[in-house]
Amino acid sequence: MDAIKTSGLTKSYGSKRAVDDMSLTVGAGEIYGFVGRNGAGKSTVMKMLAGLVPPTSGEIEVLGERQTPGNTSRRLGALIESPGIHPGLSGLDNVMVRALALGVPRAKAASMQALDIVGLSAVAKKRAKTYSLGMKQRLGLALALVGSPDLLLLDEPFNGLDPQAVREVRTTIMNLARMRSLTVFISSHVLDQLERMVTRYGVIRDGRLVREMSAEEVEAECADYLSIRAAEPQLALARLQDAFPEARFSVMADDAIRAEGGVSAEDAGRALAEAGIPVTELFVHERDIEELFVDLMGADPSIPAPDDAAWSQAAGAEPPRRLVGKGGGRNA
Amino acid sequence: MLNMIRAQMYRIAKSRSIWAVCLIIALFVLATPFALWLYQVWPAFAATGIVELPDDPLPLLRIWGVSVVGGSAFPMMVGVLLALVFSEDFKSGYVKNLVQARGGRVSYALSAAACSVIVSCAVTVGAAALVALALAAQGYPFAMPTGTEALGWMAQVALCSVAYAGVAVLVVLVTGSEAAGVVAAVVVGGGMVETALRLVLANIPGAPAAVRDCLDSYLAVDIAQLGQGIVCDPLTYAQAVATLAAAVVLWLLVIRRKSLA
Repeated sequence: MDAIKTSGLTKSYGSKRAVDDMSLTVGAGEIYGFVGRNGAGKSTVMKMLAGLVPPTSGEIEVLGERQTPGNTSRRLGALIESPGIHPGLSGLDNVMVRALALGVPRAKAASMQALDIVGLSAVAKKRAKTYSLGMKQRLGLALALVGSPDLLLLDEPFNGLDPQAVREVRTTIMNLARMRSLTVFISSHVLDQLERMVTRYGVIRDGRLVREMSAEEVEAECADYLSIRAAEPQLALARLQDAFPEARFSVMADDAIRAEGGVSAEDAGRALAEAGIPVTELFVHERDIEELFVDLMGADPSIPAPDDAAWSQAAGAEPPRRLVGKGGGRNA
Repeated sequence: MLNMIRAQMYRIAKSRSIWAVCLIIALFVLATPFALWLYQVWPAFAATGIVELPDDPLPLLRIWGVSVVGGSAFPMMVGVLLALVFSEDFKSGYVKNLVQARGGRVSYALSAAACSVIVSCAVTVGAAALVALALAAQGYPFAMPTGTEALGWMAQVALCSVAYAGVAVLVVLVTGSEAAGVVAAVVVGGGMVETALRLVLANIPGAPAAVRDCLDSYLAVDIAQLGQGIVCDPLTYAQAVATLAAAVVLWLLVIRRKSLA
């Protein structure tokens, strides 16, 4: 049984399609990272899954049950955008109300347990309006966790959290996923946090699911590789394959040769030189997860690329510091 | 749905702002017993004729009518109370946490109706008890109504008040606005809408009598009678329940498609 299955899911606001014919499957027990730039439709998808927004068309199945528009499963917990909290109630009372509504047995004990998991048991009796932003976010997570859901939807759960709290929340989610076989559907812009917990990724762009990859596939795509450009690409490829049979070689569309599997730039250069094959370009390319997903998500046209020329024209201005080494090429 | 009712009542009982409104209602209903106390202790006040004591013993039903209902302020205040109760769920976004419960949005709407009736009954009984205690504390002898009269009066006050409040809650559901709900509670609960409609219907040329006079003995008239301590005829129950039921049907239609994000 899949935890989430959508077929042709669409949401339109007037003439604009926020989500466009999305068919998505999340297996039970997966931690699925949902990635996309702002306005891509991530939150809209999650709102439809959580029953907060009725879809325009399409079907949703949650934990094997087909959902009517605007409804969802009792076995789902969600933290979508800002946590919905009664500021005048204590943290404990906020969680109690949901526990009672869900019919959770021993609601008070279950509520305290949820607050304990997120580290709020010490302030459970305090009114939620006195909580900091991070504490409110954790209270929202407690609300999602009470009642032992089988599926968690988390939309930007790390918002407002300090690094320690981020680590605690991430660890909590991973432990729950492992111990309770909980399925987690999480969206976040904090890619390095996703990288540490997600088992599968889905990339959404302009309301459409453009790519799905397992964590292993992402890791493989982000691995370092040697890029070689030679005067005679086919000859160079054959020579390199003979010299380094354990390595993997592929030829790109622009005739550049990509070498993976521990071939050093010096060794590759020497092998080609000995064969008399001129080398026009040779560098180690390091790619990080951010670069991979920015390419997949598509550039945001409203965000201009940094303009070094403009900086150099400004009198006495230093050009912006580029991060080199990670996310860029390095000449051998 | 029972779980949702429990959850809502728990939230209402724990809400300080709701108790603050209940305190205001309590102060309002104690105004008449307070005036009776002034009549006893302050001869100058007694001489003004603001309070005219009937022959002993005081008819409690009449005192309830004047103190509790008094000029349809009570239905307004119950409407304001319930508009505040449910607007909190939308203003804070807490409703997002409730739709995963069994029955989802329909359960939320029906439980809101049930909680509205419970709150209205509780406030009515509480107000009546407060007035009776205040009179007893002052040593005023009063003529107790029969159990049937007392229950009938309280039930009719509670039902008429919650019927009006149903319209205020509908406005909250449609607009998500606390202010709009409060305005609706005042305008509808105060009888202004009904009075205006009655005027309009009465002046439609050629309108059949059934249409022209359909509001002549509706809730506003019932409230006025209840304000004099008179228990209305059983038709009042049907009118109040029908009004609330119509409001709840509209709640369901609105909440089914409403974005709760």
